[in-house]
Amino acid sequence: MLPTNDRPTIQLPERRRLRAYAFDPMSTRLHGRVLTLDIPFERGLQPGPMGTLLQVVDYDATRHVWYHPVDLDHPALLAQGGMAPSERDPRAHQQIVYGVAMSVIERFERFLGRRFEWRGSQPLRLIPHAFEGRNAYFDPERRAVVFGYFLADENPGPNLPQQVVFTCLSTDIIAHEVTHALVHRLRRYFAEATNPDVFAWHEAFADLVALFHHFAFPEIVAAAVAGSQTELREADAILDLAKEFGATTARGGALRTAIDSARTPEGFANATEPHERGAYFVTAVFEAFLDTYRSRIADLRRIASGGTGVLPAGALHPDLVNRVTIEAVRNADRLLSMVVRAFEYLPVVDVTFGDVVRAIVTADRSLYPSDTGHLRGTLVESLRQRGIFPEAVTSLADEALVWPQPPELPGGGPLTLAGDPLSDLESLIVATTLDLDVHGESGTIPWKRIRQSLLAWSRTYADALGLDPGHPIAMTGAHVSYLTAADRQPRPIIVVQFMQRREDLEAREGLKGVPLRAACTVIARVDGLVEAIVPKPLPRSTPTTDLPESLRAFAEQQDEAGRKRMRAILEFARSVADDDPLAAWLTAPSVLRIDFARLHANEEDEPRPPTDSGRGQPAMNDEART
Amino acid sequence: MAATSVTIRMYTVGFGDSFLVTVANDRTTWRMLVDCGVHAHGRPRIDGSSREIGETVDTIVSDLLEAAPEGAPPRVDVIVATHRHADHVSGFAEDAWSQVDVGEVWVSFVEDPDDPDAVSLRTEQDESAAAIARATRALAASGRPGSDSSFRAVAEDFAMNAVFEGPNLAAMTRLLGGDGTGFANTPTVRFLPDRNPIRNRIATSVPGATVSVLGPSRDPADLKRMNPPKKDHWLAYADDLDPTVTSAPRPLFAQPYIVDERDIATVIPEGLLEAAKKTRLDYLGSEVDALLAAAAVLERSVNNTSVFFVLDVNGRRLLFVGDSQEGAWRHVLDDPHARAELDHLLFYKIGHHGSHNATPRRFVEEVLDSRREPLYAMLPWGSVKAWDDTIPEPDLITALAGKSAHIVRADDVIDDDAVTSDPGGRWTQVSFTIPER
Repeated sequence: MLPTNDRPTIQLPERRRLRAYAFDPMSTRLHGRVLTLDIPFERGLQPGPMGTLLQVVDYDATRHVWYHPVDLDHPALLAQGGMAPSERDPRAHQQIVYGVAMSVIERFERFLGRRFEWRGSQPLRLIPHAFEGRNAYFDPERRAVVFGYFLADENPGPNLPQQVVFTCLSTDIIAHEVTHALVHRLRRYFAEATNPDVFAWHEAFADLVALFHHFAFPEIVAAAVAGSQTELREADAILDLAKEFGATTARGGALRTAIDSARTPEGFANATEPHERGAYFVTAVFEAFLDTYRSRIADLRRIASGGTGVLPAGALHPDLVNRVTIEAVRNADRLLSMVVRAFEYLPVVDVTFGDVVRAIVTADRSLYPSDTGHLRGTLVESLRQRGIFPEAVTSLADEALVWPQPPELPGGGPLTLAGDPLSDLESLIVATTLDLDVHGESGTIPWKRIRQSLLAWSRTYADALGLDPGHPIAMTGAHVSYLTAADRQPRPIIVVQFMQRREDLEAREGLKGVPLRAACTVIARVDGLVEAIVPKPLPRSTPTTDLPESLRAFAEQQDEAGRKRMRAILEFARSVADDDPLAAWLTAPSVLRIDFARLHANEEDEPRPPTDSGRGQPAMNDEART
Repeated sequence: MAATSVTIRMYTVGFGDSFLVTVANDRTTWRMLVDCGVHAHGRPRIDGSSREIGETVDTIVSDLLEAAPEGAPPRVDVIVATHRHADHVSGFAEDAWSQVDVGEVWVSFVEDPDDPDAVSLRTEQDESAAAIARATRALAASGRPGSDSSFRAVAEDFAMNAVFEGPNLAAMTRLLGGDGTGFANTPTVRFLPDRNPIRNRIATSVPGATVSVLGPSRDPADLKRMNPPKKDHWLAYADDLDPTVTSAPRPLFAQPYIVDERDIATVIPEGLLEAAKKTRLDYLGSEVDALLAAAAVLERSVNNTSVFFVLDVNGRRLLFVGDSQEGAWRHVLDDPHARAELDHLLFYKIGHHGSHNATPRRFVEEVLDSRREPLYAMLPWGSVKAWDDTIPEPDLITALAGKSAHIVRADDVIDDDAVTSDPGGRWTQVSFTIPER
């Protein structure tokens, strides 16, 4: 910055340090550990905190009171890394939800290679003391993460009886719920249950991010590594981190069971409840992490043990702890980034775990073609052992798993965005680049023009995208991502999401408000060439007879896949209704009543640890839904 | 020997069940009453006034008296109380029953006072109903968000349907012979199904007519479907709404942390005030949705204790399922022997007033499809305003009609030789003559 008034200006800091519990008040009390969150320094942060991405609204709906908002820019707080964690001061609570949420968002940005922005630039609301109740959940309609607080049971384990437990003080719960909100931003139709995997994926991903977020804190990992004392034999220290995660959150029950089960497909195959199903995915990723971690530290162990790999008894050398920690953290980052990046390659609607595997492989293969660390192979194998692999692929080799290229166009040319769409998208490419410069100001993006030219493009090529040219198409997202490739260079891609709601089919099937959506994700290089499409078709109503030969075969295949997909969606909706005790009484279809609050409320049967976020409210809020 | 006649008379109780089944040949007559109750909000409007269940009981007793030999008391061979919901048993609280001679009373094994599993399940259901009922009333009295919600009212209805006090308690006491004043005599009570499978096939006094009891299942896996919601949360919830009970400390934080009401506009940034308003935060604490969900689980858990049986008359079957919902049908449909009992269906008492998941699609599509004879499906239904759009489920009625079932209902009597109705609107009935095999 330029000096003014003859005095040099003090540069604002780039980072803000805030303290939080590791990972909740209970474990901090037991271990004495406190986290230091290192997050971007938001300029113009108001009391709340209220920034551009997050608003902490500390209104207590049970007690009808506001709590004093924290001003993180107060000099005293800037000078000491924020407030010291305290259960008795609501401002410390506000700081913790803000800090953890920001750190999760920043990791997302890093993996996705672009600045995160909420839809319409409307900030996410965090409500740390929303109500008295054993629940915390993301509420898409309120665009808010709401945290409850409750009195501990008479026999609350390490907590004091009758003590107030705040869900907003658990790093894991905050990370989990904020991740739900992030996923909702990236794929809003994943809030529509169309198969047993959709919500399971939401849960699995939120757990995965929360679990791997532990590795964002090297001091915690180092303590775990050093705590394993003699041998590092089974990497128990790291496993214990996962188990501790299990012990402090409601989702933990299912996760603990999954971690303790054998690496066989049965558990996943029989699991129908979203947390349970999701837990197998989380476990498989975590096991892949452990496998690679073990091989990555084998050399360190040999170096430290005169070549035997058998470490001497007693405490580990601090340097070894440090090096092992670095490996663990780096490895965790690499695995989590594989999964987060896969988001760009996911379908727009109706996601399955099979789709997730294919998206992971497609994304990773384009960035790391040779898979030198064998990370991708290890992950695919670990998922396979758990029974998680796509249907209808010929093998689990990379080539079979990557998403297909679009069909050949009549005349033999490849599908490309070149022309009007690409020239309109150029401004988006520039804006994304400017956003990545922390001091830069982003340009204005001509969304209207981009949308129009992409929609015109989608109408022209609907048959090649698995969509029906006879029905309107909507564009539900377009962005540019700078993913990092093996050569450490950014590899920009354009991702566009198209969606087509088929009210004709809904009417034909007599669905009362259950949407039937076809969709296609298009992944293109910045020169416009479409590298992959991820279609989710529905039966066509437009005949294929007039299509040229090459497209006709593709369109017919999509139509067939669409019929199968629609049957599965209808069958799933029926099975949900059959099991729904409210189906007898309310007119709205049961699948529309599944949401995050209800999901978290389903954990009733679990023996409830003191800080879990069990019991909650099902979705059909009569005020909210009408 | 002549054919056997079967008549099923459905009393117009409103939203509730009451069926008198009469099986007769030229020598013997056997009568069975299946349920007698009405939902608290489901009494039918007859000529401008609502009909109390007592009037139906008087009609039943006088029908029985008329059928009895000169000078003999009114008599029924068997009373079945499928499950302890008000809309199935509230009528048994009426004193008119004390003059009726009853051969046997059949109830669900869940009512057995000597079966420890049954006692614990029943206790849980009763306590859950009491807790949910209290929570719904506490919410109503609190004036808090949700207190005037229709969901709260429906939740209270469900809880009151199951709550074990008032008419429900009086009815079950009479049926189980608790105070010795139930009926003119002291009937034998059967808890069904019996652990001994042989005792689940029960002969009637008419040759060729037997009853097979198929449910509720005693399988531990199926018993889970009868588990009610846990009471603790709702007791705590009710406590919290009750100003006389202390729960979490009020206030949650020390006074200096709470913004004084007069200072809110100056202390809280405008953006946050606006956010709180837009998100309707005040509705967050109400839990009215969760309350309704819990009440619906409770409702289903009691429905699934229903006695599920088939009356076989010369190889033709009449199916009575009480209010069994989806889960309670599974063990019947999955067991080939039980499933075979559903062949040659002549009559089906539509379960749970025709609600969405009380008549499984598998039953309609698989069992009814293999049937070649006409089927009469009887719908016990009365208007309860809140449920008029959902009960009966239109798709179910359409599906049954699609299997060429004749739907017999009091509010829309079809033109059919087998179906007659009382000119006074007290009942609708269907009669069959079943030849000997």
